[in-house]
Amino acid sequence: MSHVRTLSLIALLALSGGPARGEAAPARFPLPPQRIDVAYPTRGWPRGDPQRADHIAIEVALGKLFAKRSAAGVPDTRALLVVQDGKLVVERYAPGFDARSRFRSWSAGKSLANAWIGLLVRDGRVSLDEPLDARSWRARAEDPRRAITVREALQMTTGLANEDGDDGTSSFVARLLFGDLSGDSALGAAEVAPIHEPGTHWAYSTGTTQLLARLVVERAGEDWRAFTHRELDEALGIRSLLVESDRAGTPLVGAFVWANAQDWARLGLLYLRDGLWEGRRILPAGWVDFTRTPAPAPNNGTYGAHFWINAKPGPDQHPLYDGDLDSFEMNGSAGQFVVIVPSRDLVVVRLGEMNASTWPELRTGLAELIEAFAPASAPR
Amino acid sequence: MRKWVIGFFIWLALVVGAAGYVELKQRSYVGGGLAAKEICSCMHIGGRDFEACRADLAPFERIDWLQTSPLPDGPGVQSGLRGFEPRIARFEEGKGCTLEP
Repeated sequence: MSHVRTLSLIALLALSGGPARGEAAPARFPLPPQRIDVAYPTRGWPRGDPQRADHIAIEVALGKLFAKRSAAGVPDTRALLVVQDGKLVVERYAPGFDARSRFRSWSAGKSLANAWIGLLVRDGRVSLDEPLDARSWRARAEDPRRAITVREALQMTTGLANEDGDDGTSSFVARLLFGDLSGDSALGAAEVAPIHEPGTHWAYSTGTTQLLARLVVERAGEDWRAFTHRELDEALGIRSLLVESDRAGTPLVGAFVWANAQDWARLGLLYLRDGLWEGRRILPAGWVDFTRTPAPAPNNGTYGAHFWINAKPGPDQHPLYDGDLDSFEMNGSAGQFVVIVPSRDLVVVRLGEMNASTWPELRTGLAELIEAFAPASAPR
Repeated sequence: MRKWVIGFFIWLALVVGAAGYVELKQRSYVGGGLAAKEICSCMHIGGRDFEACRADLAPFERIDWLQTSPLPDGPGVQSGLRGFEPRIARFEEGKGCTLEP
């Protein structure tokens, strides 16, 4: 079946590593200072020309990113945005798409679960070190899975046997999203065996995201869509965000989040701005640094808390980008990217599909685009 | 002796056939679910037409084995292998597309 390819693409995301449990986290590039004149796009994007930038290099990178087309002739890259110093400095769409077009997330949506949990932690409704305690585990007091914490779920170190896998229609993620587990994704993700001590082994799992999604349903204190609308849409000026759900009403944030490119950029900017928005704290203090710190499992180096980090990979892992780029990102299996680069005060959004292009080609194009912008402290 | 040989091959054919049927049913169920869900969401959330949405699934192996079409009775998409019950994804405003069992 065709989803062999889909699921292989999903599995591409499972390629990361990090410091051992208890080891000190590596130094992070500081987030940009929250200047009083910084622009926020709550009521429309402030626009400008690229600053501290090589304009020719930008055009070359954009040309590469939009070059590959599907058999139907549609460019794989359908939207490419760059936000610098809070201003939209590049906004380009493939023919047939525009600022109103909503794009699928695949796994880039998982990072929205990070934002939801951050909001609940801010309000004291969830603690990182409390048990995740999925519904079906509660009846059994001795169930070892009850030791799994919210933190470990965010860091994909639950130890549960619900890794995505890449064996086509019988992979766990295929069953979860489209197969026998799709009616109640959180239940399907919970009813698996524990195979590692929590916190000791990293494994990429859409099911784990669905466990967090269920926690949001239970703790939001209201309908999760109303919660999202008030806490994110209204606060950030987001107008197009839509999260689909399964038949049990659990948001399918692990894969099925839709938004236009400008709204994806707003989410990225929230993280670049350390969870602050127009002087208001949306995410708790320290949340973004937690998010971009590698999960402390021996086999992980490039995964934080539902965000990817360009850091030294662990065994069997690959760096996201070559060199020392201080980026962290949301990404999805068809090349959906929201890349946040603190040193350059940048958010880069690439949305579309990966019909003709390859993962390394997209990463190279994005790296060239990012490198066309100089660090904020070294004007050209 | 000949009866035994014929019986063995009949048994083997039944076993292989049953295994193939189970495999095809699984592929139709999951693959049809993927196609129905993805095309439904692409059309009704992404705002694109059926053919454009289906074309985006073209790189996936054997996607053309599936019979996929918009639902005749409302916003949604159905998809499955010929001979198997199709999976259905229905669109609801504000909620997106949900797969039926």
